[in-house]
Amino acid sequence: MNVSGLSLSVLSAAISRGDCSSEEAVTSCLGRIDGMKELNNFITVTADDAVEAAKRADEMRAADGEVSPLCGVPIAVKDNICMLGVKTTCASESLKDYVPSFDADIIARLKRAGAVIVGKTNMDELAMGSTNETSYFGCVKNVLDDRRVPGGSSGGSANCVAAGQGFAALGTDTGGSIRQPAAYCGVVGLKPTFGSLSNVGLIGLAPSLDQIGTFTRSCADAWMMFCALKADNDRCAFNVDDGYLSGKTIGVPIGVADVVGLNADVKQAFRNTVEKLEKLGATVTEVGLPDFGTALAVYHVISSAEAAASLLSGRLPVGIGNASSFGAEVRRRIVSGACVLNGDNYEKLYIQAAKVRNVIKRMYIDALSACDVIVTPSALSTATKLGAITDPQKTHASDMFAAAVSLAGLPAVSVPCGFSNGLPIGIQIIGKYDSELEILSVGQKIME
Amino acid sequence: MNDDMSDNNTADNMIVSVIKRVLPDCSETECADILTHISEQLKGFNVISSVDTRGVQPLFDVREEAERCGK
Repeated sequence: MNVSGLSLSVLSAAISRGDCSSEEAVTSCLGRIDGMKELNNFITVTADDAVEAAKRADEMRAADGEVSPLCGVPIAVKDNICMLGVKTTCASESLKDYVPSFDADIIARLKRAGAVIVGKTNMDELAMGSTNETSYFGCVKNVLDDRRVPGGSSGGSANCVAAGQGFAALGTDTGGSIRQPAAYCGVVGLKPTFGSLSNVGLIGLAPSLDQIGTFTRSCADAWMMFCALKADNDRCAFNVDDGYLSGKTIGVPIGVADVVGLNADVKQAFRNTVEKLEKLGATVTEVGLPDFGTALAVYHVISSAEAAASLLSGRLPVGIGNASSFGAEVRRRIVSGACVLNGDNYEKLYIQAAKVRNVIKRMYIDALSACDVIVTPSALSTATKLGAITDPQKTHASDMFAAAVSLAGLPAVSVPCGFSNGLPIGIQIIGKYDSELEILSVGQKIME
Repeated sequence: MNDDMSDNNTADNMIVSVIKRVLPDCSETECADILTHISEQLKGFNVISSVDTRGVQPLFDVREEAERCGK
């Protein structure tokens, strides 16, 4: 059986029926990782451990029919999530030899479910970047066009799922680091409600914004992963009926199509998708949201301040504290954060940003009281060419639509909604707190 | 020297002093690069000062809000 093209949920069912084994699925992924090394998706491949875990999963399935749907399923993990006995580098020279002595909570959950971890994925150094070009281990190349970036910071995770090297992958999203690479690589990227999944064992960027989430090939897979990671197996069914959108109201932010820098094809795909939702029975209404540029500035003030505080305080694992080994983007962000917290700037910028964050959160909650979900493009453009953007400000702008959602702590998912010159385009669906099932259901209707 | 130039010099001096404090190994070339970047970035951050936040409390963590609204 050729398993590489299957979705996670289809694979899980196939393993459950005995149509294929976990060992076959893991061997397939490891073969694709080895065969596409040039993509540079992985910093560490845990091949031997994965094959052993797959054998154990097959034994568990044979001995007991009552196992998690993730039992035996190959999954990749972003390299800023600690894993017992496996290097966790955060793509930084400063942590290149760091081997945690514990599992992050989320890894422990995956292991308890019997999931098979095939390796640790490449990323922007310390999750600071939007292209994956700041990795100490070199940039990831987009599987759809190797002259282009996969997005970031979770670029390796998004790209490995698109390349069939894992049936799902864990990423982290601080201001778009799951949603933007999902859009660039044509996969589903879920950033759950802030705090809904444990961050214990995550080497984070900004504690008030960081959230672990998932990359999958379908919305059903994303829901399966989310339920498994929450250990909530009682409500993991995912059935979206034909009339799901009837009676639903979709909010479209006023002026979203006029944002400076929005690519024309992305704008058209976004409009086409909104029309599709309307044809499927949804009501579309305009909603007022904060200015995306202002929200992006607030995001950078808060995230750089928190990152600088974390890095300069020495609260992170061994190796960090020696700023000389950090790359240029990390060093810039340390200075940026230290400036934001310096002297009069503390009140003028940091405290003011924290107040504006409250205003932004209120505006999103008000907007979501008038609709079920809000949609925006996931990113300003499709995947950019490697080395094409040298101005850090322009790189930061790619998170324009994602950052405000992170400030409010709301759940959001990016799903594919079209193509431009063979490159995927993503649409972001934003929901109320704890409404992951709803945003994934809308995403499913878009992808059908 | 007009006020704008004076303000710019004050801001640049602050940035340079921060660079020297947090990145003591910084070369002159890198320092100049970071100064240019941060100077532009801080000007961009000024957009948030125009938001009316009278009576608004700072929000440092959305976890409680998310948990309360999610129930």
